[in-house]
Amino acid sequence: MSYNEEMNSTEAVLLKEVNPSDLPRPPLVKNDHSFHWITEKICRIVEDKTPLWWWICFCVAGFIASFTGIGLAYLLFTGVGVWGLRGPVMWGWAIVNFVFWIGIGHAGTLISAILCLLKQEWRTSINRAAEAMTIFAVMCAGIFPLFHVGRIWFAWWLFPLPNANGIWPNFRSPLEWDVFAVSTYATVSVLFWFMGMIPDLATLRDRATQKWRQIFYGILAMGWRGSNRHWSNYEMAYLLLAGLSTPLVLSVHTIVSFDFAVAHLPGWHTTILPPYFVAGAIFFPVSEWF
Amino acid sequence: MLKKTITDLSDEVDEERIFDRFLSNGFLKNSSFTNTPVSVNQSRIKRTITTGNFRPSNISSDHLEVRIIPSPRVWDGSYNNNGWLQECPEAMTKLTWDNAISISPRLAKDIGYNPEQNSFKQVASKKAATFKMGREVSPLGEINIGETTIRGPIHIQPGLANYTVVVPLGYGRTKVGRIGKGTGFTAYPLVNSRSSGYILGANIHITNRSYILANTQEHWSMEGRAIVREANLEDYVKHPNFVDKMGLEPHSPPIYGNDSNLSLQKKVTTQPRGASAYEIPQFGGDHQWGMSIDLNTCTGCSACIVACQSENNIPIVGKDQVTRGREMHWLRFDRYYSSGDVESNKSDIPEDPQATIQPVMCMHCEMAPCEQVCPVNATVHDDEGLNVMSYNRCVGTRYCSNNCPYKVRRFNFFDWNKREIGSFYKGPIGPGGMTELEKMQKNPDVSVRMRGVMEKCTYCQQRIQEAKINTKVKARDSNDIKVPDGMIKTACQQVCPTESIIFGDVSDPESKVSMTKTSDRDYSVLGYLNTRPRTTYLARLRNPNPLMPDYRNMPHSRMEYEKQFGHGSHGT
Repeated sequence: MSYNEEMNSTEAVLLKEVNPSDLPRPPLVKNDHSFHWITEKICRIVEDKTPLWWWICFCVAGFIASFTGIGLAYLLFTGVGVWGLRGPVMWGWAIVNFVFWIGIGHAGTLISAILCLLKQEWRTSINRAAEAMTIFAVMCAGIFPLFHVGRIWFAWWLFPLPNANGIWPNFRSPLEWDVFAVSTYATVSVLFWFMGMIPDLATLRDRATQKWRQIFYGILAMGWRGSNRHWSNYEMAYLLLAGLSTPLVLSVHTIVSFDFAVAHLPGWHTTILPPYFVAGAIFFPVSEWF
Repeated sequence: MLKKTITDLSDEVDEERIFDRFLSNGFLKNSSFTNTPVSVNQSRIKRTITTGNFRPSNISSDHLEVRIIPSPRVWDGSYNNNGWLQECPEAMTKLTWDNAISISPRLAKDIGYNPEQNSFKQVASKKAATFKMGREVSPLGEINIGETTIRGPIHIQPGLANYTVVVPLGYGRTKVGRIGKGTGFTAYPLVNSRSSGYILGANIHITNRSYILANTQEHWSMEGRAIVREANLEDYVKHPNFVDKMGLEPHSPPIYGNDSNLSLQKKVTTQPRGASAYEIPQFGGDHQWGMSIDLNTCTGCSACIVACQSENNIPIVGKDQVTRGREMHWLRFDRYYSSGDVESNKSDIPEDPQATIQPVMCMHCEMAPCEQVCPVNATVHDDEGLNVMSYNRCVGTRYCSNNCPYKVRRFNFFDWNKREIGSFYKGPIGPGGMTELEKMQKNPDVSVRMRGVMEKCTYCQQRIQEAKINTKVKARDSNDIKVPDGMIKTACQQVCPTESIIFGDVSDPESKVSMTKTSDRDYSVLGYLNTRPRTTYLARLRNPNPLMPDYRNMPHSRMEYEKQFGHGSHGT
């Protein structure tokens, strides 16, 4: 077969023209509701009287959550021995829970930030809840390594605070890297969550009737007036934070895995752990939401 | 009453004088026992020796020989209320706080005690009794001899003669103090005027009840690794550098340049290697402390464990906490069994293994893995090469213990010193605080650790400091502040009856420890991890009789090592 013949035969297979099919995105708000309707719908949740069923559920949840407080108080006054820990592996469920909750936190970030970067507009229906979940998950994650130490009242020594003895934390310790990784992650997550809420807080401020609500939301809205410049800065800042928190998902869980991967223990000392932890963290949002 | 006893024993009349003289002399004249003449049937002894018939008649699984021994820990029971002895693991069984009926693996099979379910499959045919969650759950057994019956937990002891049962005395005391209460079972019903240490004709069976034993070592095998290195004498004479051929050291990164010709052990113990991201520590102190432990002379008497406990204010934790693996001994004994057989029959407990023991405490690694991971710098190196632990700084993340390859770090899970055994879980609502007597028992030179901090062997830091201060005082204006060799003895070294432990300045080539470390038997455990431990071991030598039926040309552990990991290239 000559070269030309080959070319011709290839051309026959190729389409002369590509016609993308017309698949319009479904509207995010159906039935032609106006912005005002949406604002009313959402703000009412905050402004109206909290329904009784909510209080009942809250009390049940609060009662269950109080076990944590009782458990932690017992732990604190008695010693970490109340957990069934022993050598040679001195860590147990506390560290497992820590890793688990960090993973749950990543679910929120992934849903919110990555969908934002990918311009998936439908994220607005769940992103606030997802971000809140991240923050509470990071708080839960923080409790476990904090309370698993033997002398929790000195746990602040893990932070690099200047002191009279001139002793600094050990920057070679993966556990110290954890402190920075998790606190960075928590900070960025809180900023991302709060940043996203500012225009909504301003709406609540503007609708507020009581004085204290006006002051409360007024402070939180940070002088938002909804001007073009505000919106433009807001969009950029939001994009930057979304861009910042996405790689954090990878780095935080990588560093969490360093606790194990950098250690000497056979079984821990392996390079598969960082990708393994990150992959695990990505599975969390999948299982949580879809 | 005392006076009367003394005066009755003497034939003098003046009672006051007798007693005063007794007090003054410290002994009483002519109060010794009278001699009893013993006749020996010489012809019978001669006959027995010449015919060589030593085998007692018909010993079998239902006609057992019972050996009654004083407990290695609490003797005949006199020390039953002594917590240090109670918690000191027996060298072979590794049991604490209880006695147990030791039976052979063969007898265990015969009576239907089969620990194969629920227990670890251990390679090279090393399988322990039934361990669940680290606790030795052993069945209660009953020994019947005539009318007498005793009940106790059964422990399978590899190496025991097939139909001999060992029963230690000293337990099950009905009147005893707080410590000894409820420990073990009594074997005294077996003891009578006719039984001189052993009884024939017993039978044993297991009941369906079980008993938890606090065993500190559930694993029996070195898994073919070169942790304890041993050789037969003739092999050692032929290949004096055999320790260099074992372990992973030959596989760790090479050293180039001037030092490339050093021996492997030298490289492992002294040379930094590998591309570490961190600086290799340089120690500028006047002394460089180090230790050498001779496995050849160590008998496993465990005196060092108790000496260390007494010197360093190490608490006992009680049976319950020992079953949870929280014993606090800074110095432990590792006991390994090896049958030399890796190919066949991996599920049976060896009937005739060789045992090796090794004292293990903090190695004071120059490149200590524990120091790298402590987030608060609570464990650091000093300039004399000690891996020091500052209790005040420790927050108790326990990361150091995770990362210690030798597993020698001990954590205060509870306030061991402040709370009573048995009420650790009650915390502040349980009884607490030390009595004045307990406080006086503590060594004033060593801190008493609170809960939540890590601790470990310090090479008896307090003794080092004391010696250094004394030397400096003596030196006055001269600059001679080097502590003379032998002035510091660690607590374990001090009590070692065979002088297996030698401590001293390794930077002084004339010191005893340096001389010992030049031995070709010197090796470091897990040296390939680049830890550069300051404590090194001298390999063990065996000298078996070639005429004996169990003679093998290599120690069992060595055979296992060679079969699993040895290959020709490093061989001799």
